[in-house]
Amino acid sequence: MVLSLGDLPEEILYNILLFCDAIDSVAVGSTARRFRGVTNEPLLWRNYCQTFSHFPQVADWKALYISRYLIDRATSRLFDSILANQTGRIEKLRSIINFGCDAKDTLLRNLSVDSSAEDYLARRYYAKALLTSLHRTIAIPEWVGLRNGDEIPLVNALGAFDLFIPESGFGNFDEINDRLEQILSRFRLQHPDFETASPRGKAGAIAAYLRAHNLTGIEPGREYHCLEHNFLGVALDDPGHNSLPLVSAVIYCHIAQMLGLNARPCGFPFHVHVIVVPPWGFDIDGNNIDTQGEPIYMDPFRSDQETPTSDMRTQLNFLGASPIEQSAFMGESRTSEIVLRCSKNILNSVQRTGQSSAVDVGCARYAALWSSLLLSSQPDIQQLLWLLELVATDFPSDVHLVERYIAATFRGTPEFEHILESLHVIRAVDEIPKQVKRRSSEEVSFRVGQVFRHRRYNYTAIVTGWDAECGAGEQWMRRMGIDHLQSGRQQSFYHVIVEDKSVRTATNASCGGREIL
Amino acid sequence: MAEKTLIMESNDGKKIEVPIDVASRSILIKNMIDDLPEGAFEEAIPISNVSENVLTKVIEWCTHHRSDPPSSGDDDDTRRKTTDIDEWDQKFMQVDQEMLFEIILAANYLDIKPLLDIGCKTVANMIKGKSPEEIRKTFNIQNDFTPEEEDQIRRENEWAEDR
Amino acid sequence: MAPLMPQAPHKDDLNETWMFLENGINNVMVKLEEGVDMKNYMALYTAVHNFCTSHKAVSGHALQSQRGGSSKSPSAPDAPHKTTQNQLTGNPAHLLGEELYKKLGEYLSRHLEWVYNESTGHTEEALLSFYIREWQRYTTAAKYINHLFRYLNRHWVKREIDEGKKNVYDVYTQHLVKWKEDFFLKVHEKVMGAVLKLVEKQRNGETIEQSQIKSIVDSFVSLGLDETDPTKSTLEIYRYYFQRPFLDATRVYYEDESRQFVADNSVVEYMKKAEIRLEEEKARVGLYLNNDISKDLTNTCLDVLVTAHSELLRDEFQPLLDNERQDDLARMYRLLSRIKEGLDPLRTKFEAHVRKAGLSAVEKVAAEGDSFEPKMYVDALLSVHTRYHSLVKEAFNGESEFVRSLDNACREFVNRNKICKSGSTKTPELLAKYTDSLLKKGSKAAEESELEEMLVQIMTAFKYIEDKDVFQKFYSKMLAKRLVHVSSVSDDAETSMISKLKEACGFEYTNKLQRMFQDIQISKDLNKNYEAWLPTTLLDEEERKKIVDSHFQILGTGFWPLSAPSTSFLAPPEIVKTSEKFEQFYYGKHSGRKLTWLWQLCKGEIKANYIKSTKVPYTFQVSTYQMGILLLFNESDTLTYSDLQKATSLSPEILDPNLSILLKAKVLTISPEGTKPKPGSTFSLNYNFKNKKIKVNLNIQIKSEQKVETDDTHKTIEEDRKLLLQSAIVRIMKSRKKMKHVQLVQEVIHQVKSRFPPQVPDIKKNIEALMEKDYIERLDGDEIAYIA
Repeated sequence: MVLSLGDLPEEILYNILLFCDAIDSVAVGSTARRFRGVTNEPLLWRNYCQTFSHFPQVADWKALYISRYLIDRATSRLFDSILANQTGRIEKLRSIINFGCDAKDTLLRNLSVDSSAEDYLARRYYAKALLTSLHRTIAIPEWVGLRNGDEIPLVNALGAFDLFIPESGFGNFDEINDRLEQILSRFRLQHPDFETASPRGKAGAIAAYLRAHNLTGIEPGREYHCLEHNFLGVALDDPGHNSLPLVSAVIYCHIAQMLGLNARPCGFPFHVHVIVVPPWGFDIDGNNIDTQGEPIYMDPFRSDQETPTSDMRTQLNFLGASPIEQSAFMGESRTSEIVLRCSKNILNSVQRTGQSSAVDVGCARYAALWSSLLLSSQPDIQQLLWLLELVATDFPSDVHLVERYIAATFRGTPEFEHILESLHVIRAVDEIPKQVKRRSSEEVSFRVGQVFRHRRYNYTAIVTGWDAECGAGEQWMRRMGIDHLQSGRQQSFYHVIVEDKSVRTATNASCGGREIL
Repeated sequence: MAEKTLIMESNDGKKIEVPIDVASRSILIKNMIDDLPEGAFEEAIPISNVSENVLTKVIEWCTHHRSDPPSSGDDDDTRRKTTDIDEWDQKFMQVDQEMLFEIILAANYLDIKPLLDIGCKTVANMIKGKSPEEIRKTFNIQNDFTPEEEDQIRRENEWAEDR
Repeated sequence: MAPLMPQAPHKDDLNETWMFLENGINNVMVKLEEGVDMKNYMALYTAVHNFCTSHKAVSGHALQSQRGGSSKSPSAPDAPHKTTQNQLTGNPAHLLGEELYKKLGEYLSRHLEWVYNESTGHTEEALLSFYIREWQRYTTAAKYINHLFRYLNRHWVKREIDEGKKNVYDVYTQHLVKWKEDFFLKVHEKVMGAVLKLVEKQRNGETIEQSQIKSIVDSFVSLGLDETDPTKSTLEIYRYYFQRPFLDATRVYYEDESRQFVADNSVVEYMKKAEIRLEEEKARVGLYLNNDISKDLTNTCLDVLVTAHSELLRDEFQPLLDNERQDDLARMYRLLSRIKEGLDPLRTKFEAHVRKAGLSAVEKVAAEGDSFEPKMYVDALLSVHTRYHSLVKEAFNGESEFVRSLDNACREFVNRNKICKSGSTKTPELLAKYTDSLLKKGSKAAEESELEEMLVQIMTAFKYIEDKDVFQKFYSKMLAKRLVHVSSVSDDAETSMISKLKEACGFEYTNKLQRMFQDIQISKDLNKNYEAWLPTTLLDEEERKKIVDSHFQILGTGFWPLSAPSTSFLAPPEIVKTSEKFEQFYYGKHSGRKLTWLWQLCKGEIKANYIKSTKVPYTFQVSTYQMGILLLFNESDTLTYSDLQKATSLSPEILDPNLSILLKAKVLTISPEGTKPKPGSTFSLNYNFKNKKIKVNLNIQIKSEQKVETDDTHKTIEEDRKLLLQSAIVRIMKSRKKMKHVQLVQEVIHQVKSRFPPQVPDIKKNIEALMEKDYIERLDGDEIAYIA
């Protein structure tokens, strides 16, 4: 008898299929009964599922694979359609985002698309826009939950800021929690006798550990107000682990809470501390008492020692705080207060640092505005206007988020109409087919995507669009002395984005000759 | 010093002398050498499942790969997407299907994981991208489904069709 | 040779295959020493392979039946697709092997039952030998069988494990699991009983076969399998079945032994015993136990050997201290330092003991009456410190807590003892005086290094002094004198002492001392300049003769603890010209400064040319006052009291004692003879003066002056303290503006306590005083405010 594929034992067929794709396995399974069993092998399908970046532990791996496969295909089609067609993008974006994390693999694939593809820049652009929008879709409900009085973990409430920042590299809360879990398990390893310590001993041990491993505080010589110091995830991930007192305190509190210590941020002016409260019936040194014991205060940003209560009182006296204010400053902060404070810090840092920062300033500001609008008892109208402007210019894929979460907040206020109006405009623009401009002739000599150095102003910029003749307002033309240029207003003008992200206009002549790419 | 050898005997009675390090590519042989006293190998080792021509082929492979680092164990198949095969091995595997399957079976029996994998990869590459009908043709597989079963299978696999 | 193997089995037949395999593995299990034949090895491996790969290549059957004659694995997962329920099964691949795995397990159970039955015939050491022999045989066989069943491991077992099945292991692990379940759990108590008996024998001093225990430990450790990850092992089994009973037995053994031993022996002997036992147990871990037990074993031993008897040990501490049994104290320290809070009670006792020793040493000095030398007192203090300092170092490992107890005790007896019962200022006074005696010319410390050593010792005592300002006062007085009288033993010694004080108390404390020292250095240069300048200003030989050889010291007012003379004095004309010349020189250099002559500190030499009995005339070393008196006798051999008083203008308080000195030295004679100098007395020059030395020192300090000086010093201390307190209060209030009274007092204490221990009433008094002076005012609510 001639040996054939079907004669191979099951384990060898299985081994062969491991080297095949899922679709190949399906094909093999359709050829004859002999192959039905091995092509339905759950371990085989579990193996195919490994191609997804994340997946739950399920019983039915094949079903999981199929559902992911279908989402991937649907996402790819929508994605291609967004690239192919300029109208109706908002709804398509929304459809993809509705797939949630399952769409992520497709987006990541497009994000890292090879530059040999003709439309690779557009692919990367929209993949990034969608991914970040997806992350915001995960982040924002945490703040909404906080507003509604839900029990939201401190780490999620603060980690939500990181989900706004592409540079943080975090796409969900589990990843941030994993980082903390790692710290926690290393700590446990080093402190096997931790449980036997008094609350004070525990508080000191945690602070000492975090300080010794440089997980809190800011390295000497760094600018305190650096924007990235505001982000929990960045602080955990960055080798320097730099963080403001607020973030240091949150890291401390999380670790302490996981270790069974009642530690919460304390909203001390200028410098968030941590308040550690002993369990009822014990004092901070673990002795039995029959009341609630006095708390102690830690400052993980600065020290591994506790801050004497008297020192803090003295400082409040110095600041002239009234007794009522004092008890508020010395008490624990609600999570929403911490988020708001972080939001303020970020806006503050943005103002100080300007455009140069390790994290995207626009995204950081956007996050701060969202959290502030969702959690402030009296939302700032100016902030609302800023937010709407940012959505229109930078984050159109978030229209549905604004509709769902922001509009609801303002229902019944005069601003409500304004919001609806703005959203309506954004959607309307999305529905209008864009006018296709044909290049008339040699006059428009630069391509969109061209990088050049400006002749007179010497800035580097990229061409994003053009007008056959000057389309800017009369006033601008007068001010810039357009009519004094060689060809006056009757020449092609380019819309360009300069390195510093400002949008400018340039002429053929000023771009020419100095092109870089 | 003369190279240490042992003798392997195929199931059709051919004896082949093989250096120990070559034979030790087979984990079966390697374990046995470890387990048994030195004098145990004066007689030929009966390789009862493998015929001479296949055994010769396998030994050829083992000789070429005699100084490869030992395979890291049996747990390396969690993530093996790559079906790349190095050039020598590709040439080595240019044999008819019958021989290919024989080599795979022998590698499986003798416990030579890298050779088994190369064989499986070769087969996988023959399957990739083909329709069921093409696969049947390639491997000479008899379609033994009833029309009703075929129908059922088509429904089952609808999701995979529209690539 | 291995027995003849039956023919290779038919691969599809489970029973036939198993019969064949069982025969083979049984040979491995029970007759391995006879060796395994290579062909059998191959045949067995091949049988497993062939069985596992059989059945499957069958095609053309209906799908259900394709799963073959083999029984379906009960735990095989259900079909992933609901749609495939009708006639087509999508059941997953089926790997063969479960039957073999099960049959192997059954075989092992049977074998182990046999092993167990055999074991019941053995006890004690024989049982251990049996266990170890069977264990070794079994695990060696397991290694073989694992290789023979490798095909099963590679496929069926691996798949089961990948799918997360519990209770399926690779064949070697299966052997261990079976051993644990079917044998170990039945015999572990008996085995441990034998182990513990052996250990007890060894503890009793007998020689035992240690390697047996080591083998048992290894076996127990091997049985620890991590259920969640079969590639890892845990120590659970070992901990539970070995460690636990081992520790229990250890506890019981040492409880008995120590109870017995303590009843029959002294505590010192017991400590030696305990120490040896702790060492032995530590060594035991390395000999045949797993390191994991180390901490628990030590803790158990400490608990039974030390903690349980800690009261007894501590009770022995005082007697050991009393008898200065350093080695035994060290032993006690070592033992008690290893248990929680073991040393605290000792520290208290130690502190009290040192204090008592200090007090009684001082009492011995006090018994001498008032006449004791400062050296005796300081030596007494230091000897106690030295003794216990070395004890802390040698016996207590220099542990910081004991150092602190020593310091507490020393501070106590240095400042409060019989000699300073009037007040804690006595010690600093005596210490300063002792220091002076060392630094003055003619001190007994001959070698410089010896002197330095003694200064270091003084600093040790100084460290404990609370009234550091008192020391400063006395020290500076005496330093001034040494400098003015050029009686320092050496500049180096003086600088060394000053820098030591500076190191201990800071710059401010030694500021004045340093300035004094500098003044003297500057004066040296000044004198040189003066000597160069002088000849240029002299008109003629006549004038030159009127100038006497001289040396001047310029002492900055405010730095020196000196005051202007208490009496008026007309300097003798013989030196007036010289002093005027110097003033001329000095004012020329520093206009606007004022010089005040401190005659009481000046001295000179005069030659007694009138005495003809020697070839070389006598030289008298005299104070300026004495010089003034004696020079008058150049004019007349006899002078009355009022002559002298008028010519020198000295007050009787100064004049009388100086005359007494001259009379006593028989330089002058008095009339009427034998009376004290008083108005009406007449004094004559004694031409028959005789002395053994050519140089006669008449410049002796008057006893009563010394006493007055000491009292004055104490008085100025009170004054200075008041100033120090007030300036501290002002300084604090200036920076804080507003403060509670209580806080202010606290802060003041904090700031001045390095100088002296302030009394709260004193601070309050000074706060009141400053209020009266309108520096500060009292606000409502016990607050005090600074008035700018």
